[in-house]
Amino acid sequence: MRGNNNISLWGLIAVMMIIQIIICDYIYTGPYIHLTLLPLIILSIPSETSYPKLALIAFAVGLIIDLVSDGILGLNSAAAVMTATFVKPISYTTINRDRSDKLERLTLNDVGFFRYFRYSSYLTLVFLITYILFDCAGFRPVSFILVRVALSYVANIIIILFVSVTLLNKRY
Amino acid sequence: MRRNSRLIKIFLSIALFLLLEGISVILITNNSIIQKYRIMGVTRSVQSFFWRQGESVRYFLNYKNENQLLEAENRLLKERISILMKYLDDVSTEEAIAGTSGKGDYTFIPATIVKNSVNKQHNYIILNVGSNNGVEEGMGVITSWGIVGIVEAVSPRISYVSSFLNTSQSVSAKIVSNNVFGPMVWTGVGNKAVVREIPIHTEVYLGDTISTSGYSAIFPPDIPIGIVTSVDEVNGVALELGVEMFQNFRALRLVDVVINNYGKEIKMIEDERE
Repeated sequence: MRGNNNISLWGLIAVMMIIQIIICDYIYTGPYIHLTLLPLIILSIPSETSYPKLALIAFAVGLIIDLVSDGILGLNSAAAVMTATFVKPISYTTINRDRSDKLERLTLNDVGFFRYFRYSSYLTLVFLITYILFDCAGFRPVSFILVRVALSYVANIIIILFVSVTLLNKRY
Repeated sequence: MRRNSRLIKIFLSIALFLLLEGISVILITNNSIIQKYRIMGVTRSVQSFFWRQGESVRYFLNYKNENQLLEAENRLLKERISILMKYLDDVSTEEAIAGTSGKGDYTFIPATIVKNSVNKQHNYIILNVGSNNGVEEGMGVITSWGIVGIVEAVSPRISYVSSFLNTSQSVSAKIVSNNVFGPMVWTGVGNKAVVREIPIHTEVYLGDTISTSGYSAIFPPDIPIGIVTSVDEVNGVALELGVEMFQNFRALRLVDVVINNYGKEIKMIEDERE
Protein backbone atom coordinates (compact mmCIF):
# COMPACT_ATOMS: atom_id res chain seq x y z
CA MET A 1 0.00 0.00 0.00
CA ARG A 2 2.82 2.30 0.99
CA GLY A 3 4.56 1.38 -2.27
CA ASN A 4 1.53 2.61 -4.19
CA ASN A 5 1.48 5.79 -2.11
CA ASN A 6 5.12 6.41 -2.97
CA ILE A 7 4.43 5.83 -6.65
CA SER A 8 1.68 8.48 -6.63
CA LEU A 9 3.92 10.88 -4.71
CA TRP A 10 6.76 10.47 -7.23
CA GLY A 11 4.15 10.83 -9.98
CA LEU A 12 3.09 14.13 -8.47
CA ILE A 13 6.75 15.22 -8.28
CA ALA A 14 7.18 14.31 -11.97
CA VAL A 15 4.11 16.38 -12.86
CA MET A 16 5.50 19.33 -10.87
CA MET A 17 8.80 18.99 -12.76
CA ILE A 18 6.97 19.11 -16.09
CA ILE A 19 5.03 22.20 -14.93
CA GLN A 20 8.31 23.78 -13.83
CA ILE A 21 9.84 23.14 -17.27
CA ILE A 22 6.79 24.71 -18.90
CA ILE A 23 7.10 27.73 -16.56
CA CYS A 24 10.79 28.11 -17.42
CA ASP A 25 10.25 27.84 -21.16
CA TYR A 26 6.91 29.46 -21.87
CA ILE A 27 5.86 31.73 -19.00
CA TYR A 28 7.62 35.08 -18.84
CA THR A 29 6.97 36.82 -15.55
CA GLY A 30 9.29 39.78 -16.10
CA PRO A 31 12.72 40.44 -14.61
CA TYR A 32 11.51 40.80 -11.03
CA ILE A 33 9.60 37.55 -10.51
CA HIS A 34 11.11 34.10 -10.72
CA LEU A 35 8.48 31.38 -10.46
CA THR A 36 9.67 28.00 -9.26
CA LEU A 37 8.15 24.77 -8.03
CA LEU A 38 11.47 23.32 -6.93
CA PRO A 39 11.09 24.26 -3.23
CA LEU A 40 7.67 22.62 -3.37
CA ILE A 41 9.16 19.46 -4.91
CA ILE A 42 11.75 19.32 -2.12
CA LEU A 43 9.02 19.96 0.48
CA SER A 44 6.99 17.06 -0.82
CA ILE A 45 9.78 14.50 -0.53
CA PRO A 46 9.16 12.28 2.56
CA SER A 47 10.88 13.66 5.66
CA GLU A 48 12.34 10.23 6.49
CA THR A 49 14.60 10.56 3.44
CA SER A 50 18.25 10.79 4.53
CA TYR A 51 20.26 13.92 3.65
CA PRO A 52 22.51 12.26 1.03
CA LYS A 53 19.47 10.84 -0.75
CA LEU A 54 17.57 14.13 -0.49
CA ALA A 55 20.56 16.15 -1.78
CA LEU A 56 21.06 13.77 -4.72
CA ILE A 57 17.35 13.87 -5.61
CA ALA A 58 17.34 17.69 -5.39
CA PHE A 59 20.47 17.88 -7.54
CA ALA A 60 19.04 15.48 -10.13
CA VAL A 61 15.68 17.27 -10.30
CA GLY A 62 17.39 20.69 -10.58
CA LEU A 63 19.74 19.41 -13.26
CA ILE A 64 16.92 17.84 -15.30
CA ILE A 65 15.00 21.13 -15.20
CA ASP A 66 18.17 23.01 -16.19
CA LEU A 67 18.86 20.59 -19.03
CA VAL A 68 15.36 20.55 -20.45
CA SER A 69 14.49 24.21 -19.96
CA ASP A 70 16.25 27.04 -21.72
CA GLY A 71 18.26 28.35 -18.76
CA ILE A 72 21.78 28.36 -17.36
CA LEU A 73 22.89 24.81 -16.64
CA GLY A 74 23.59 24.35 -12.92
CA LEU A 75 21.53 27.26 -11.60
CA ASN A 76 18.50 25.27 -10.40
CA SER A 77 20.63 22.38 -9.19
CA ALA A 78 22.82 24.71 -7.07
CA ALA A 79 19.74 26.29 -5.44
CA ALA A 80 17.99 22.92 -5.01
CA VAL A 81 20.98 21.33 -3.24
CA MET A 82 21.25 24.37 -0.95
CA THR A 83 17.53 24.10 -0.13
CA ALA A 84 17.80 20.35 0.51
CA THR A 85 20.64 21.05 2.96
CA PHE A 86 18.41 23.35 5.00
CA VAL A 87 15.33 21.09 5.09
CA LYS A 88 16.19 19.35 8.38
CA PRO A 89 17.58 22.38 10.28
CA ILE A 90 14.58 24.50 9.26
CA SER A 91 12.05 21.78 10.10
CA TYR A 92 13.69 21.32 13.53
CA THR A 93 13.54 25.04 14.32
CA THR A 94 10.11 25.85 12.90
CA ILE A 95 8.21 22.68 13.80
CA ASN A 96 9.77 20.52 16.46
CA ARG A 97 12.51 17.94 16.26
CA ASP A 98 10.53 14.97 17.59
CA ARG A 99 7.44 15.79 15.62
CA SER A 100 9.20 16.39 12.33
CA ASP A 101 11.14 13.11 12.76
CA LYS A 102 7.96 11.16 13.50
CA LEU A 103 5.91 12.49 10.59
CA GLU A 104 6.30 10.66 7.29
CA ARG A 105 5.85 13.92 5.40
CA LEU A 106 5.28 17.43 6.71
CA THR A 107 1.84 18.53 5.55
CA LEU A 108 -0.20 21.59 6.39
CA ASN A 109 -2.79 19.47 8.25
CA ASP A 110 -0.18 17.74 10.39
CA VAL A 111 1.80 20.75 11.59
CA GLY A 112 -0.70 23.60 11.37
CA PHE A 113 -0.90 26.54 9.00
CA PHE A 114 1.53 28.97 10.70
CA ARG A 115 4.24 26.40 11.29
CA TYR A 116 3.91 25.12 7.76
CA PHE A 117 3.91 28.69 6.44
CA ARG A 118 7.15 29.50 8.32
CA TYR A 119 8.76 26.23 7.26
CA SER A 120 7.92 26.64 3.57
CA SER A 121 8.76 30.37 3.66
CA TYR A 122 12.28 29.79 4.94
CA LEU A 123 12.94 27.03 2.43
CA THR A 124 11.59 29.15 -0.42
CA LEU A 125 13.79 32.05 0.69
CA VAL A 126 16.88 29.80 0.81
CA PHE A 127 16.13 28.63 -2.71
CA LEU A 128 15.40 32.10 -4.10
CA ILE A 129 18.40 33.79 -2.45
CA THR A 130 20.77 31.12 -3.79
CA TYR A 131 19.21 31.14 -7.25
CA ILE A 132 19.05 34.92 -7.59
CA LEU A 133 22.56 35.47 -6.21
CA PHE A 134 24.06 33.02 -8.71
CA ASP A 135 21.94 34.58 -11.44
CA CYS A 136 22.49 38.28 -10.75
CA ALA A 137 25.19 39.01 -8.15
CA GLY A 138 27.90 41.29 -9.42
CA PHE A 139 26.15 42.73 -12.42
CA ARG A 140 22.80 43.77 -10.96
CA PRO A 141 22.42 46.35 -8.17
CA VAL A 142 21.65 45.14 -4.65
CA SER A 143 18.29 46.95 -4.76
CA PHE A 144 17.29 44.92 -7.84
CA ILE A 145 18.31 41.68 -6.14
CA LEU A 146 16.35 42.52 -2.98
CA VAL A 147 13.23 43.50 -4.91
CA ARG A 148 13.51 40.36 -7.03
CA VAL A 149 13.84 38.13 -3.95
CA ALA A 150 10.90 39.85 -2.23
CA LEU A 151 8.52 39.74 -5.22
CA SER A 152 9.53 36.20 -6.17
CA TYR A 153 8.99 35.10 -2.57
CA VAL A 154 5.45 36.55 -2.49
CA ALA A 155 4.53 34.97 -5.82
CA ASN A 156 6.01 31.58 -4.94
CA ILE A 157 4.67 31.30 -1.41
CA ILE A 158 1.14 31.86 -2.71
CA ILE A 159 1.60 29.02 -5.21
CA ILE A 160 3.24 26.76 -2.59
CA LEU A 161 0.45 27.29 -0.08
CA PHE A 162 -2.19 26.77 -2.75
CA VAL A 163 -0.63 23.49 -3.96
CA SER A 164 0.01 22.40 -0.37
CA VAL A 165 -3.66 22.89 0.55
CA THR A 166 -5.07 21.31 -2.59
CA LEU A 167 -2.63 18.52 -3.51
CA LEU A 168 0.03 17.90 -0.89
CA ASN A 169 -2.35 17.90 2.06
CA LYS A 170 -3.52 14.42 1.12
CA ARG A 171 -1.87 11.21 2.23
CA TYR A 172 -0.01 9.68 -0.67
CA MET B 1 31.46 4.24 18.54
CA ARG B 2 28.03 5.77 17.92
CA ARG B 3 29.51 9.24 18.18
CA ASN B 4 32.18 8.34 15.63
CA SER B 5 29.63 7.06 13.13
CA ARG B 6 27.63 10.28 13.60
CA LEU B 7 30.73 12.35 12.93
CA ILE B 8 31.47 10.32 9.80
CA LYS B 9 27.88 10.88 8.63
CA ILE B 10 28.21 14.65 9.16
CA PHE B 11 31.54 14.70 7.35
CA LEU B 12 30.14 12.71 4.41
CA SER B 13 27.09 15.01 4.24
CA ILE B 14 29.32 18.10 4.10
CA ALA B 15 31.49 16.45 1.44
CA LEU B 16 28.41 15.55 -0.62
CA PHE B 17 27.04 19.09 -0.30
CA LEU B 18 30.35 20.60 -1.42
CA LEU B 19 30.61 18.14 -4.29
CA LEU B 20 27.11 18.81 -5.61
CA GLU B 21 27.42 22.60 -5.20
CA GLY B 22 30.85 22.45 -6.81
CA ILE B 23 29.49 20.57 -9.83
CA SER B 24 26.65 23.11 -10.12
CA VAL B 25 29.05 26.08 -9.96
CA ILE B 26 31.29 24.48 -12.60
CA LEU B 27 28.25 23.96 -14.82
CA ILE B 28 27.18 27.59 -14.29
CA THR B 29 30.65 28.96 -15.10
CA ASN B 30 30.91 26.80 -18.21
CA ASN B 31 27.50 27.76 -19.51
CA SER B 32 27.29 31.49 -18.89
CA ILE B 33 30.04 33.95 -19.69
CA ILE B 34 28.70 36.62 -17.29
CA GLN B 35 28.52 34.18 -14.37
CA LYS B 36 31.91 32.79 -15.33
CA TYR B 37 33.64 36.17 -15.09
CA ARG B 38 31.77 37.10 -11.95
CA ILE B 39 32.63 33.86 -10.16
CA MET B 40 36.23 34.07 -11.38
CA GLY B 41 36.36 37.66 -10.08
CA VAL B 42 35.10 36.61 -6.65
CA THR B 43 37.54 33.67 -6.61
CA ARG B 44 40.46 35.93 -7.56
CA SER B 45 39.57 38.54 -4.91
CA VAL B 46 39.45 35.81 -2.24
CA GLN B 47 42.74 34.42 -3.55
CA SER B 48 44.38 37.85 -3.57
CA PHE B 49 43.24 38.43 0.03
CA PHE B 50 45.04 35.25 1.13
CA TRP B 51 48.06 36.08 -1.05
CA ARG B 52 48.34 39.49 0.59
CA GLN B 53 48.11 38.01 4.08
CA GLY B 54 50.68 35.36 3.22
CA GLU B 55 52.92 37.98 1.69
CA SER B 56 52.70 40.16 4.83
CA VAL B 57 53.80 37.22 6.98
CA ARG B 58 56.63 36.38 4.57
CA TYR B 59 57.69 40.04 4.51
CA PHE B 60 57.77 40.17 8.30
CA LEU B 61 59.87 37.01 8.46
CA ASN B 62 62.22 38.33 5.77
CA TYR B 63 63.01 41.67 7.45
CA LYS B 64 66.60 40.65 8.13
CA ASN B 65 67.29 39.60 4.53
CA GLU B 66 65.49 42.67 3.21
CA ASN B 67 67.68 44.95 5.34
CA GLN B 68 70.85 43.22 4.19
CA LEU B 69 69.80 43.67 0.56
CA LEU B 70 69.02 47.34 1.12
CA GLU B 71 72.36 47.88 2.87
CA ALA B 72 74.20 46.26 -0.04
CA GLU B 73 72.22 48.32 -2.55
CA ASN B 74 72.97 51.46 -0.57
CA ARG B 75 76.68 50.66 -0.62
CA LEU B 76 76.58 50.20 -4.41
CA LEU B 77 74.80 53.53 -4.85
CA LYS B 78 77.36 55.29 -2.64
CA GLU B 79 80.15 53.85 -4.79
CA ARG B 80 78.40 55.09 -7.94
CA ILE B 81 77.91 58.54 -6.40
CA SER B 82 81.61 58.77 -5.56
CA ILE B 83 82.48 57.82 -9.17
CA LEU B 84 80.08 60.45 -10.49
CA MET B 85 81.39 63.08 -8.04
CA LYS B 86 84.91 62.41 -9.32
CA TYR B 87 83.60 62.80 -12.88
CA LEU B 88 81.85 66.07 -11.97
CA ASP B 89 85.07 67.43 -10.44
CA ASP B 90 86.88 66.72 -13.68
CA VAL B 91 84.41 68.45 -16.04
CA SER B 92 83.33 72.07 -16.21
CA THR B 93 80.00 73.23 -14.72
CA GLU B 94 78.49 73.83 -18.18
CA GLU B 95 79.44 70.35 -19.33
CA ALA B 96 78.08 68.83 -16.16
CA ILE B 97 74.74 70.65 -16.53
CA ALA B 98 74.53 69.66 -20.20
CA GLY B 99 75.34 66.07 -19.26
CA THR B 100 72.76 65.72 -16.50
CA SER B 101 69.88 67.75 -17.91
CA GLY B 102 67.00 66.09 -19.72
CA LYS B 103 65.36 62.78 -19.21
CA GLY B 104 67.35 59.57 -18.81
CA ASP B 105 66.82 56.52 -21.00
CA TYR B 106 64.86 54.68 -18.34
CA THR B 107 62.48 55.51 -15.52
CA PHE B 108 61.23 53.09 -12.90
CA ILE B 109 57.95 52.31 -11.18
CA PRO B 110 58.45 50.78 -7.73
CA ALA B 111 56.21 47.78 -7.09
CA THR B 112 55.56 45.11 -4.49
CA ILE B 113 55.06 41.46 -5.34
CA VAL B 114 51.66 40.14 -4.32
CA LYS B 115 52.11 36.59 -5.63
CA ASN B 116 55.22 34.80 -6.76
CA SER B 117 55.48 31.26 -8.08
CA VAL B 118 58.91 29.60 -8.22
CA ASN B 119 58.17 25.87 -8.34
CA LYS B 120 56.83 25.53 -11.87
CA GLN B 121 58.47 25.42 -15.29
CA HIS B 122 56.48 28.51 -16.32
CA ASN B 123 56.49 30.75 -13.26
CA TYR B 124 54.66 34.02 -12.88
CA ILE B 125 54.55 37.01 -10.56
CA ILE B 126 51.72 39.37 -9.69
CA LEU B 127 52.55 43.00 -8.88
CA ASN B 128 50.48 45.53 -6.97
CA VAL B 129 50.78 48.12 -9.76
CA GLY B 130 48.85 48.29 -13.01
CA SER B 131 47.85 50.52 -15.86
CA ASN B 132 46.72 53.20 -13.35
CA ASN B 133 50.40 53.48 -12.35
CA GLY B 134 51.68 53.60 -15.92
CA VAL B 135 52.56 49.94 -16.33
CA GLU B 136 52.16 48.55 -19.84
CA GLU B 137 52.51 45.13 -21.43
CA GLY B 138 56.05 44.29 -22.51
CA MET B 139 57.83 46.31 -19.80
CA GLY B 140 60.72 44.70 -17.95
CA VAL B 141 60.81 44.08 -14.20
CA ILE B 142 64.12 44.24 -12.35
CA THR B 143 65.80 44.58 -8.97
CA SER B 144 69.33 45.71 -8.19
CA TRP B 145 70.29 42.03 -8.23
CA GLY B 146 69.07 41.13 -11.65
CA ILE B 147 66.16 40.73 -13.96
CA VAL B 148 62.84 39.46 -12.69
CA GLY B 149 60.60 39.13 -15.73
CA ILE B 150 58.48 40.82 -18.35
CA VAL B 151 54.98 42.25 -17.88
CA GLU B 152 52.53 40.12 -19.84
CA ALA B 153 49.12 41.45 -18.87
CA VAL B 154 47.95 44.55 -17.08
CA SER B 155 44.71 45.46 -15.32
CA PRO B 156 44.11 48.89 -13.73
CA ARG B 157 45.58 47.84 -10.38
CA ILE B 158 47.66 44.71 -10.90
CA SER B 159 50.14 43.32 -13.42
CA TYR B 160 50.87 39.76 -14.42
CA VAL B 161 54.57 39.21 -14.98
CA SER B 162 56.05 36.26 -16.78
CA SER B 163 58.94 35.45 -14.44
CA PHE B 164 62.46 34.90 -15.78
CA LEU B 165 62.08 31.48 -14.12
CA ASN B 166 60.37 30.40 -17.28
CA THR B 167 61.97 27.93 -19.65
CA SER B 168 60.53 29.71 -22.69
CA GLN B 169 61.86 33.18 -21.84
CA SER B 170 65.27 34.56 -22.81
CA VAL B 171 67.04 37.87 -22.27
CA SER B 172 70.09 39.36 -23.90
CA ALA B 173 73.06 39.09 -21.50
CA LYS B 174 76.75 39.95 -21.83
CA ILE B 175 80.04 39.05 -20.20
CA VAL B 176 81.07 42.22 -18.35
CA SER B 177 84.81 41.79 -18.96
CA ASN B 178 84.60 41.72 -22.77
CA ASN B 179 81.03 42.77 -23.70
CA VAL B 180 80.39 39.59 -25.69
CA PHE B 181 76.70 38.88 -25.54
CA GLY B 182 74.23 36.07 -26.09
CA PRO B 183 70.73 34.95 -25.10
CA MET B 184 70.35 33.82 -21.52
CA VAL B 185 67.67 31.34 -20.46
CA TRP B 186 66.72 29.70 -17.18
CA THR B 187 67.71 26.03 -16.97
CA GLY B 188 64.54 25.09 -15.11
CA VAL B 189 66.43 24.32 -11.89
CA GLY B 190 66.91 26.71 -8.94
CA ASN B 191 68.82 29.91 -9.64
CA LYS B 192 70.76 28.51 -12.58
CA ALA B 193 70.75 29.90 -16.11
CA VAL B 194 72.80 29.46 -19.28
CA VAL B 195 74.14 32.01 -21.75
CA ARG B 196 74.23 30.52 -25.24
CA GLU B 197 75.79 31.32 -28.59
CA ILE B 198 79.02 32.79 -27.17
CA PRO B 199 81.72 32.65 -29.90
CA ILE B 200 84.20 29.86 -29.27
CA HIS B 201 87.24 32.16 -29.28
CA THR B 202 85.87 34.30 -26.41
CA GLU B 203 87.98 34.44 -23.28
CA VAL B 204 85.73 33.56 -20.38
CA TYR B 205 86.75 32.65 -16.86
CA LEU B 206 84.82 31.07 -14.05
CA GLY B 207 83.60 33.83 -11.75
CA ASP B 208 83.17 36.40 -14.55
CA THR B 209 80.15 38.62 -14.05
CA ILE B 210 77.20 38.45 -16.43
CA SER B 211 74.99 41.53 -16.84
CA THR B 212 72.19 42.71 -19.11
CA SER B 213 73.45 43.77 -22.52
CA GLY B 214 70.98 46.59 -23.11
CA TYR B 215 70.44 45.30 -26.67
CA SER B 216 66.72 44.96 -26.06
CA ALA B 217 64.35 47.81 -25.37
CA ILE B 218 63.08 46.01 -22.27
CA PHE B 219 65.97 45.97 -19.78
CA PRO B 220 68.57 48.70 -19.09
CA PRO B 221 72.20 47.72 -19.71
CA ASP B 222 74.71 46.69 -17.04
CA ILE B 223 72.37 45.23 -14.44
CA PRO B 224 74.41 42.45 -12.84
CA ILE B 225 72.67 39.11 -13.27
CA GLY B 226 75.06 36.47 -12.00
CA ILE B 227 78.48 34.84 -12.25
CA VAL B 228 79.85 32.23 -14.63
CA THR B 229 80.05 28.83 -12.96
CA SER B 230 80.81 26.62 -15.96
CA VAL B 231 82.00 26.93 -19.55
CA ASP B 232 81.05 24.22 -22.06
CA GLU B 233 81.81 23.86 -25.74
CA VAL B 234 78.78 23.13 -27.92
CA ASN B 235 79.38 21.26 -31.21
CA GLY B 236 82.79 22.90 -31.48
CA VAL B 237 81.31 26.20 -32.68
CA ALA B 238 80.07 28.04 -29.60
CA LEU B 239 80.35 28.22 -25.85
CA GLU B 240 77.57 27.75 -23.36
CA LEU B 241 78.09 29.47 -20.02
CA GLY B 242 76.49 28.17 -16.85
CA VAL B 243 75.40 31.11 -14.67
CA GLU B 244 74.49 31.27 -10.99
CA MET B 245 72.08 34.18 -10.71
CA PHE B 246 72.44 36.77 -7.93
CA GLN B 247 68.71 37.20 -7.61
CA ASN B 248 67.07 34.91 -5.10
CA PHE B 249 63.58 34.59 -6.56
CA ARG B 250 62.21 33.04 -3.37
CA ALA B 251 63.06 36.16 -1.36
CA LEU B 252 61.70 38.64 -3.90
CA ARG B 253 59.43 41.39 -2.60
CA LEU B 254 60.28 44.85 -3.89
CA VAL B 255 60.92 45.29 -7.61
CA ASP B 256 61.03 48.05 -10.23
CA VAL B 257 59.08 48.10 -13.46
CA VAL B 258 61.25 49.56 -16.22
CA ILE B 259 59.91 52.21 -18.56
CA ASN B 260 62.12 52.68 -21.60
CA ASN B 261 61.59 56.35 -22.43
CA TYR B 262 62.53 55.69 -26.04
CA GLY B 263 60.77 52.33 -26.20
CA LYS B 264 57.88 53.60 -28.30
CA GLU B 265 60.22 55.29 -30.79
CA ILE B 266 62.31 52.12 -31.06
CA LYS B 267 59.17 50.05 -31.62
CA MET B 268 57.90 52.52 -34.23
CA ILE B 269 61.14 52.37 -36.19
CA GLU B 270 61.26 48.57 -35.93
CA ASP B 271 57.67 48.35 -37.21
CA GLU B 272 58.47 50.69 -40.10
CA ARG B 273 61.49 48.64 -41.11
CA GLU B 274 59.43 45.44 -41.05
